[in-house]
Amino acid sequence: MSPPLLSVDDLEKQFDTGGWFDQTPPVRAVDGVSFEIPEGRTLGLIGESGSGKSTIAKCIIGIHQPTDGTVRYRGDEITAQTSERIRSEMQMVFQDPTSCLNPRRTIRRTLNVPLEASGVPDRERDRRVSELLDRVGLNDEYLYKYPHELSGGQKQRVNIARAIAVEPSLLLLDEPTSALDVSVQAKIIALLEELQRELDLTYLFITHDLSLVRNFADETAVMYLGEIQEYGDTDQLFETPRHPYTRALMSAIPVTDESEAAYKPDGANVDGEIPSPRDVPSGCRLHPRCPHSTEACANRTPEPYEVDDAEARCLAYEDDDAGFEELRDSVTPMVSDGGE
Amino acid sequence: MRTNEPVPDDPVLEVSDLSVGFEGFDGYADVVSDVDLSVGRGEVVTIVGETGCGKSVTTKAITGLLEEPPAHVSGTVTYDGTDLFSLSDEERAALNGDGIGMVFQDPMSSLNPVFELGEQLADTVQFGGTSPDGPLSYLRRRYSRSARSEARDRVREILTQVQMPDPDGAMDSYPNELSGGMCQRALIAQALLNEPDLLIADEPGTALDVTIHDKILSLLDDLIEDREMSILMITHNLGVARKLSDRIYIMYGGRIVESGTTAEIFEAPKHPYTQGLLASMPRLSDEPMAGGISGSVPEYEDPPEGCRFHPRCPYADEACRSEQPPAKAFSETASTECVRYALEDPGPEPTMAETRTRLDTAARSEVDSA
Repeated sequence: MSPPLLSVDDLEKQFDTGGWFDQTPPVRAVDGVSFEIPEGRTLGLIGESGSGKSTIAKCIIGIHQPTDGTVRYRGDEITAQTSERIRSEMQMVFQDPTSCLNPRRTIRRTLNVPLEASGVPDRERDRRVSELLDRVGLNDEYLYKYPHELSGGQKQRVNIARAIAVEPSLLLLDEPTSALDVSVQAKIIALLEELQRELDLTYLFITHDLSLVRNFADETAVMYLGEIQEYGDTDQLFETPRHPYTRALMSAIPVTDESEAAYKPDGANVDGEIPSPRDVPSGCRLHPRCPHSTEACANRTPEPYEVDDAEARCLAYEDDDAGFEELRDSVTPMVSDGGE
Repeated sequence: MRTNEPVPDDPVLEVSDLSVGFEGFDGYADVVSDVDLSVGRGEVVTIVGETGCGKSVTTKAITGLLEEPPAHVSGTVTYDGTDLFSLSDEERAALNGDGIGMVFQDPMSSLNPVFELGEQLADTVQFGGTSPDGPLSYLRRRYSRSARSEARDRVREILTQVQMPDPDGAMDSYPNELSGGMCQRALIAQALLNEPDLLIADEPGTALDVTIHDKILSLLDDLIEDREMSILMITHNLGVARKLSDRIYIMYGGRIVESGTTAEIFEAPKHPYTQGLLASMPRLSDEPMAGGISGSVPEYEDPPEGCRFHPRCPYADEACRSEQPPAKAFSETASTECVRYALEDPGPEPTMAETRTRLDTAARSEVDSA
């Protein structure tokens, strides 16, 4: 079996802020994260701000050097030596479409840069730029426009065009739609799905909005304070959310009709706010906010436990008689007959 | 929309024919036109629309926060029987904060960074909602120890009510020391300090994380129950509107295109724009979302002729381009501005399912043609 396109193993990233005599503990932004994305699939990475999801993407693409752990691309470890070669295979699309485009360059010039860098000969570039614009649903009218003449959705399309210009296999999408209106967001998601089909792309899709990955990602990982709390097949995760944090996120989503409200777990709210990653709670990181927490949660650190093909980092799933009856009883398929 | 405008029995706020335009370098921008809306006592009313549809401008015109010129405001706004546009600046200032409270959109930048939270809020208690009566009186009241400590007690009380963790600590903090959720709570507390009858909330909590956002909304929900306050809320999220409001106005291109009770809007949306927005919402169920609405909100210097939505509408035809569609009422509360309901021979009636199919087809053909 060929290795997965991207595999991340025990990735750790700490940010030291102090000087020599400064005792401030480092920020543990990412703390032991592992996942794999097979070729042509999409992994949704969910988390609130400060959970470390963007840091993961930046470690993969080499903006940050990981403190520990490995990132493998098609089985090859990405190191300082190999990153140059591998980097053109992966591209990133950022959250704010406006600040990612140089305001003084026309769209044609912006799209020319990656083509130039990847050695496309001069005479072919214009044709390639037109092709790229076509791919993302724009046309040649946009060639000589400046970013300020475009709407947010159009700018994000240009950003996507720029990312696919070097023909990568992996796209890291860091909240690509969170600055856009819902009607435009739906269009960008449709475009991404289309591109995935045509160009056989693999996506790491980072978002804070659980409902966005529902029909987009094949697998979903939910992050909290630098750790993956629940990881598994998207359908399964939405139908039987297991980790208290996943349940809390789902119950917090404002929905638009009753059939969807059925997917929201009851009584799953978490208290308070996300603690500082400088000072993570002992034991389970969610325990100060968790409605099901017991004494054991504060003292023992949960591992990712396997439950029906999914992984949940919660002591309730350590073994069958770990207690937590209330939580385990409430974990039932949200909609029994497959969501009808 | 106005002929059949459902007027609650005892409206605390009534807006009719409100139009706002701006003088700009590129000509006159007609940003809000002919908006009629009303908020009943104890009612929660929400304006929903995309970015750039004129929602915030509408509320700013209501509260008198627009600089005139460049803005041109016309129409009438009646609050509790008083015509707001006929008031002098002093009378207006006295009303803002006391009668009408406002929660602004961005919690982090709406507090003054150089004063402690407790000081800012105590100032609101002492001086909000009163007309300025000279520096001497100000100094006397500001530095009267008993008046000040009374004001601070009131601030502590209200911060407890909005469930601020550690109210005393928060009062001694500067805004940069507070998290986004705490700033949002502080802003809501500030708006509630002088017990306004009408609270205008511009996207409360949108900038925050989902779990915190949900908490803020539940908090607002509880406050509404307790106080019989009227709320005019703005949001771009239909889910939020559904959670809190009694009635909803859908705004597009500076016009109110559809209005109705929450049930009417969500169970039987009439306007293609409302249907498109609903279909574009990401879902928790396994039903996929629609392909979105093509295009973007209109340019206000040169808005499209006729119905402003027609360049993006999957049903648009000649009739939509030629004239502004009249409003048609469906019930006492529901009304829609769409030609499809006004013509004698209107063609296919927009239904939720039909709109979805059309949007999906449009999305597919766009990508195919590319």
